[in-house]
Amino acid sequence: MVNVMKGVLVECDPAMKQFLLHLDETLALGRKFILQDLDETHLFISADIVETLQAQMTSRESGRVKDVERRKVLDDAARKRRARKAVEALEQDNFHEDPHADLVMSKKVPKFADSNEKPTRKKKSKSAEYYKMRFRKTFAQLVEEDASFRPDPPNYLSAQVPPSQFPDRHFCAVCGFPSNYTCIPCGARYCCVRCLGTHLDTRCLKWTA
Amino acid sequence: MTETSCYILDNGGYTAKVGFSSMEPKVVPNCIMKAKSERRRPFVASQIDECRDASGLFYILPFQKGFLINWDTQKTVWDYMFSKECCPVNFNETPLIITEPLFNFASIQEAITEIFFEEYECQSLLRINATDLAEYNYRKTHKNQCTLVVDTGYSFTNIVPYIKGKKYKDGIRRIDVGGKVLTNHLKEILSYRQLNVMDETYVINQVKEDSCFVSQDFMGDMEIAKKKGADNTIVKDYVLPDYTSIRRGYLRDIVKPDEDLEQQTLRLNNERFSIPELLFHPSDVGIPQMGIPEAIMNSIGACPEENMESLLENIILFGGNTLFPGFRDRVFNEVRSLALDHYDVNVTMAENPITYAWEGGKKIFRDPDFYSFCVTREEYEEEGKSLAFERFDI
Repeated sequence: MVNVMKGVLVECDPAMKQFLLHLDETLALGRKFILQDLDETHLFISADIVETLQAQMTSRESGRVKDVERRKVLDDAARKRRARKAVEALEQDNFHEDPHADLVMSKKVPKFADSNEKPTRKKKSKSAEYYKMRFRKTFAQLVEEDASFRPDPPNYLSAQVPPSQFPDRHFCAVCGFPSNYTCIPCGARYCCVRCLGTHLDTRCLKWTA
Repeated sequence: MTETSCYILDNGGYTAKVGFSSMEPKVVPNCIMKAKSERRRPFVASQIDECRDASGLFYILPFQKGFLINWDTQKTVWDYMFSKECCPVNFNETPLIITEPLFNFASIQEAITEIFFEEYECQSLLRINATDLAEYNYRKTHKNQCTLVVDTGYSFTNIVPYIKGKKYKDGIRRIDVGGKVLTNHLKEILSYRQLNVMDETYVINQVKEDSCFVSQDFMGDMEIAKKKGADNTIVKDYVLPDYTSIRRGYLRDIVKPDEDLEQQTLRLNNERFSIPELLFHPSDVGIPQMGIPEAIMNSIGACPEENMESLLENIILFGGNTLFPGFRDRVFNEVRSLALDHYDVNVTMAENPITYAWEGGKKIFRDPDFYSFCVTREEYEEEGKSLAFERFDI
């Protein structure tokens, strides 16, 4: 008697083959399905199991791997922009609002001078406000102006020291100790899994701008 | 002209050093501050001493990145300084020495000249770099040929070589790291790691002054800071001021907190030395520049070779950041290791780093040629601002 069965030839790597053999042996899909073990990379399996098997394979994909693929990774431009913002923040004078900003000074409030003497200066001194208007220029304007006043080095811009010849050192963004690892999405440095956890919970991609 | 004293104003970005050459200088904050507790009045310069609760101080500074930008603020502070409240002066009778940053912008120079001659009716004026005064001070005590001046202040750090008393402009170097960057960075990491202190610039600046030091072996200290218990000789607690019983915070060893005293503390570990480290490695916070010792070598490298020896032998450090313990030794050790072996290296720290330039002003006033450096009001009225540009080498 001839026994004919409809089958499908499967070509896969040896590891996958072993996995399939394992599924077959443990009856994971409810029954045996391998008809013939051909060689290292080829199997002959029954045709009606293919659909079940495909379903099984997609669910086998690791959740972790998928997560990593989905996670956003900051590009170079964004990282530079962040770094520049951080350096600019170091130049700031205040990080909070003027506490007197909402204060409305009433003109009727008497001003208590230390004495009743009338100022005896001949010339009326100009108010601070006058000088604000008179010499109003921003830092950027001044640097620009300097380019025409002192076009050739040495000048303000040329006096800035060049980058160091020594390699940069890296410190954990969380605890400040020397770090060996870089956060993949944002490029921040960290030193251990604990610090990475803190970093991911608090800062990583939290203020993407 | 036979004035017996002159008025010296070392107009820094954070503090101004002011006074007559016959007296001791006063160090006053060069800013206006507003406090949360005091709703009525802003505090101008030293008036802050009258403020009882200095938490959450809001700063209005005349300087931005080391240059005079906010004139209304500066005018208010100057008016205070020259008034009876602080250090009264009559510029009609007293010559004035005022300092300016290196490569000060032309329009700022013009404005200062104008304000002092026209508003304050100054009789004679000398505008000069603070580093010039420091160099003069050093040269008068050491009788040396060349000097390398390192001025590390609030806004930035300048390195200026002087050859035979004249600054060698091609060798001037600026590192954009000063006390402000250090304080802001400390504030940032403390706020992230422990307690939000972003609004407390004034207090954190004190924390920095009281607890930071310059490490002589950075990686070694990092290892010590990692240790637990008594092996860690670096970790300390800083008791924050509460402005009722504690006016200024202080550093103390780690002790079991006393339940009765409700003190707020900050735990300081590697922060203590990684903050001043920025002066030596600005790249640690992403500022792509050399640290002080490397910049010293870079500056000397730009000078004529025959002066190299003399420059290395006469390095003078001044400015507020030099007050960190260990600063001079670290600079010396690193410059020593970077410089060629057959040169001698000599690094001096000014005995009073904050007023060192001011003291230089005192000495320059006694220079027999002092009045030839100045511009008088008659000259100004005759020839205008261009003369000031010619005479003052800013």
